[in-house]
Amino acid sequence: MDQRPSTYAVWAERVAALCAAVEALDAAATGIGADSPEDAAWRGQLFEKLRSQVAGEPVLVAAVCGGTNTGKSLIANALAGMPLSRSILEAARTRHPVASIPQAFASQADMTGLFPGFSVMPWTSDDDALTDAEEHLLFVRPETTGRQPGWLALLDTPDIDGTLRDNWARAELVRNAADLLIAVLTQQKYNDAAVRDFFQAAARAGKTVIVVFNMLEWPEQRPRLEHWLAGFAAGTGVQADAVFAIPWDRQAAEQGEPRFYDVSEELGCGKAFVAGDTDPVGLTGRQLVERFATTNYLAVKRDAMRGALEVVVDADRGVPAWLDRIVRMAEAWREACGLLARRVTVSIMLPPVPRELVWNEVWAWLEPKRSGFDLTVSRVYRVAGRGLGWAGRRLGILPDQAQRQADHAAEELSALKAALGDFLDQLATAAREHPQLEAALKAVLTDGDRQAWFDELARRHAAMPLISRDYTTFVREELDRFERDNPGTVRLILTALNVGAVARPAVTVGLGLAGAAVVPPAAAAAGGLSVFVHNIGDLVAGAAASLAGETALEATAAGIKPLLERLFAGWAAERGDLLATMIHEVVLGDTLEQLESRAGMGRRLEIEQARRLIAELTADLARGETA
Amino acid sequence: MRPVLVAAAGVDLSWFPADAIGAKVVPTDAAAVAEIVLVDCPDPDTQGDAQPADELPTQVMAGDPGNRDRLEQILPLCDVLMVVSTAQKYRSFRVARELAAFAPGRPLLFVQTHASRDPDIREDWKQDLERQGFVVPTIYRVDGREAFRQALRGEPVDPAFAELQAAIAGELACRGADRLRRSGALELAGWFLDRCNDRLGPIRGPLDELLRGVSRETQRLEHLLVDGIARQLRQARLGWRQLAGRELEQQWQGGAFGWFLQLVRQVAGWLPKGRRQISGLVGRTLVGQVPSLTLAAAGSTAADDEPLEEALGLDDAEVEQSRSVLAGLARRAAIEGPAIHPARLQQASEDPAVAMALERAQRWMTTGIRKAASGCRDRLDATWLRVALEVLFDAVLVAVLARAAWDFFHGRLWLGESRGGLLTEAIVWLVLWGLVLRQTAIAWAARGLEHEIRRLAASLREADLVQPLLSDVATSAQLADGVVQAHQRHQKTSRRLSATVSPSRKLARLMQGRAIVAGPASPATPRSHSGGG
Repeated sequence: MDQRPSTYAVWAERVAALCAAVEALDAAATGIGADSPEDAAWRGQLFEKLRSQVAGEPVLVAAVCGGTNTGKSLIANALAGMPLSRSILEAARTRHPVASIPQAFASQADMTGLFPGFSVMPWTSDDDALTDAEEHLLFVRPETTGRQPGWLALLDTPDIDGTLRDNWARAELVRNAADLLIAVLTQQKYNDAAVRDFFQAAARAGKTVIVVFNMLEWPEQRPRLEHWLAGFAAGTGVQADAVFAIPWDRQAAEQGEPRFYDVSEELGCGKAFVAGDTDPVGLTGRQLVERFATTNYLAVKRDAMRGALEVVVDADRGVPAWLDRIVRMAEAWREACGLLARRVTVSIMLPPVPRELVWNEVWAWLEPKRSGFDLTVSRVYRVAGRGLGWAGRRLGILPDQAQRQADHAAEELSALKAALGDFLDQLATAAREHPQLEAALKAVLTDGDRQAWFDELARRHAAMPLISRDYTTFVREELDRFERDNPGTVRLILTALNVGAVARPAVTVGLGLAGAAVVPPAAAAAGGLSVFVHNIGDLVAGAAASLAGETALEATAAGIKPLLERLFAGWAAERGDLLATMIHEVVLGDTLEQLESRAGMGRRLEIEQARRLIAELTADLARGETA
Repeated sequence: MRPVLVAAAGVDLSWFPADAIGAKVVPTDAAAVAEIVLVDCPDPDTQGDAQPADELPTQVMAGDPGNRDRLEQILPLCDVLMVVSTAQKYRSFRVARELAAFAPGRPLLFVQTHASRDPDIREDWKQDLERQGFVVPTIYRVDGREAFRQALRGEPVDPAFAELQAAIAGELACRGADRLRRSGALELAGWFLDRCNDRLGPIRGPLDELLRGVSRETQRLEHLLVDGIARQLRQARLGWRQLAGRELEQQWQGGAFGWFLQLVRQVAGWLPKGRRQISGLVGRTLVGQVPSLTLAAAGSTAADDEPLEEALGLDDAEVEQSRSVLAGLARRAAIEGPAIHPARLQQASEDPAVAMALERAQRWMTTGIRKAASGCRDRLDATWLRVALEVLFDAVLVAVLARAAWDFFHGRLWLGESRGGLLTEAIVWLVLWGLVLRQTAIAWAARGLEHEIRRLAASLREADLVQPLLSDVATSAQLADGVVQAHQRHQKTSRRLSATVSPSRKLARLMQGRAIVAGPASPATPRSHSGGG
């Protein structure tokens, strides 16, 4: 018998680190759809078995499991030698597990840590297990007789196949925490799919299983046990370490004293875990537990821990498979983000920039730098321009400036609305092409209040001044920088303005409505405002060329054109920014950030860390450090 | 387990795929099955959820692979299900799930067997079944094996089994069978409608919201359209004046004033044309141009960019906003493309139906404006106006001619005076007078402009011109609403008919409108239907 202390404690640090890495990834992994029902197996072993038991004192957790009304509670009570949960006629009445724990152990150990997922409660009566509560409760009854080995925790569990799904969950939590399962089977249940599924998971996790065939017509059905056991083994992969048979005996059941017949040897069970002489009248539950006391429980414990770790590191069904899935899903999200980037672009067909507004700003910046003569001439032109403008408006030749600005604002809002509608259209199209986007954008496309978005856009647009303080600052900064970088050019412009003050039309055509100078009829006839907006740099350069000479203006054109383009682009960009900000703040919220986070999931450090830990734990297993 | 079918000899069993499912057919002359076909079905709970029959462990399933697959083929053919269970199995989730799949429309008999050995769990079973949504008048408790032995020995069966036999004979034979089928069919229809309700219920609110949205957006666009058209009409004063002038010149034939108007038209024809472009459907119609009736006319950048703005004076962005808002509401009501076109109008107009609808709207617009032009013509056609203008013009003409004649005959020939320039002066005044009269006539014709605009605007709303722009959403919403209404009608009918059928007092049935508790909670079941028995 192997009595060496367990060495699986060396995994403790790595298991804890792995748990931390998995927990760090968990929420995000769920968000990207990397979860799979298959994960339940390794999660159960990692969090409910390894984390809680790898570092503590070795205690063998033995759980009595089986289908509805197969006599689990009767058997558990018999093994414990005292009532744990009441055995009643109706099925699926044991709602919560009950543990019989040696007194000494119960006072020292952290029961909640030993049975994660449960709220541990002290046992008060055998009706505790029948409590109808949604919370997962586990009742602990200390064993005071001293007949139960100090290292053995014995549990009665709810059913694994009834109509109450909570019972399944509780039974699975117990199974994950257990080292030894006492599988209660009957003729009616040994081949049920739900029973098979439950014990199949136990077999994969390397748990020791003792099979108890209950309610047998004894000895008539004895020859059939081999066939039933073979069927159970084939369906679950369980290689039972011992097999007992309990005859159907109403009287013994009512007295709580079923007899266990050891049929392990005749059914060819390899290890005969609970070895002992075959008693012709069968063993009582207490006698069976006394046999447990003589067995090498540490070997069973190590097998269970090793089996649990094998499930966790399994490349196809364990944590590595989950990590691979995260990377794959993250890749799919990256594709989704790529699709969004390619397909969804906001195109704003803004109306032509109201040039006079931009020129006003330029002119305001230029004004202190101009000569007195130029300013005087400009004032004359300004006064004359106002007069002509007034007359033009009275005659209906020139449109009212306020009306023009109102029309422009309406056109601009129209363009922004069209762009918002277009954006939502493109978003919907992209979502249709990518199922992950469909789900991720549901909150936007389906649940979003589009009417409110359009109203908000109109509200923001109405609140936005034609020239904002930011834009004024931007213009001045741009011009200041231009002056620093091109002092000669600015002087040239000023010179051109001074020289050309008399011939004002050529240079000031674009500044006309700013009041700096009037727009002479000759300038309008030469192309005027409508052309100006499209070729602003060319026009300024062209206009000044006749005054200052071609050579001098080559430099001006080269410097001024990009500057003016930037100034106008800056104004348009500010209008476009209104929509972009609105889409970001109101329509999408944090959706894009979430998508980017999902796309970047595959590069999280925790993934690499988890892979490294898995490799180390696999190496530990290969080295047989638990032996 | 191999299914076994027991039926009276000579009964047509061609409807039962015995060979396909490997069933054994046992002919019998037993009175108990004289009027029924009894199928002994395999267990429903030995086949895993995701485990195909051919992957089941051979040792376990040797001889009966895919029990549930077989059950799936058998149960749809059955009218009544007799559910036989034991104290160990009556709470089985998988059995409950299979039952849930096939219980709708099929009365049930619940039987607890192994009575001689198992405790009586009928009360607990009944409560569990009621929790799952069944009405269970009776659960029979028998010992099948003992009854079989008694039958073999020729002994009378025990009273519990006899009661079960009586229930079968009474409920399943003769008229009982017809009643069962009838009530089963009604129950199935009711169950189906309830399931439909599960799916239609959540969209009912969003659908109402969509219908309200269609109405709201239609009104909003109509309002904008009326404003747009009215604005275009008001802005097209030049067009109105040209129209009035043209009508005046075309209608006023004969008479001196008519001659004068023709002269003016000829002279105006020699003058260079103005550069001012008349745009928009309204303007072009008023000046007598035939407007383009297609949305995106080749080479027309404006029409490409803003077809509605160009055609109807309605801002395309406003239409796109409405379409986008409705697309969002439609998504909430689970209505999506291809029924709903993109909100972007240029994309939507690629759809032939929408394009055709828009073209019709434009035609209507053209007709409406022509009617307005006709009103202008009618005003010019007023007899009093014609007489008045003719008289006023002719009077001046006669006065000028009389004065010229007087000057010539009396002054020059009789008195010998020499006066010059009168004729030239008179002609100038005559022309000016004619032009004043012409302008007066045009002003008169244009006097009803505001009235025409209001009349046209009012008729635009009645013409429902906006509807084609939202027709895809509106049509889909109405179709969906039709389905919901039809469902509600059918559900009422089903409930009314069900109330007329008295349920069996022996057989269990699924409660009307109740969902089965165990069924939907199944973990990842890949099959659409499964059977149990």
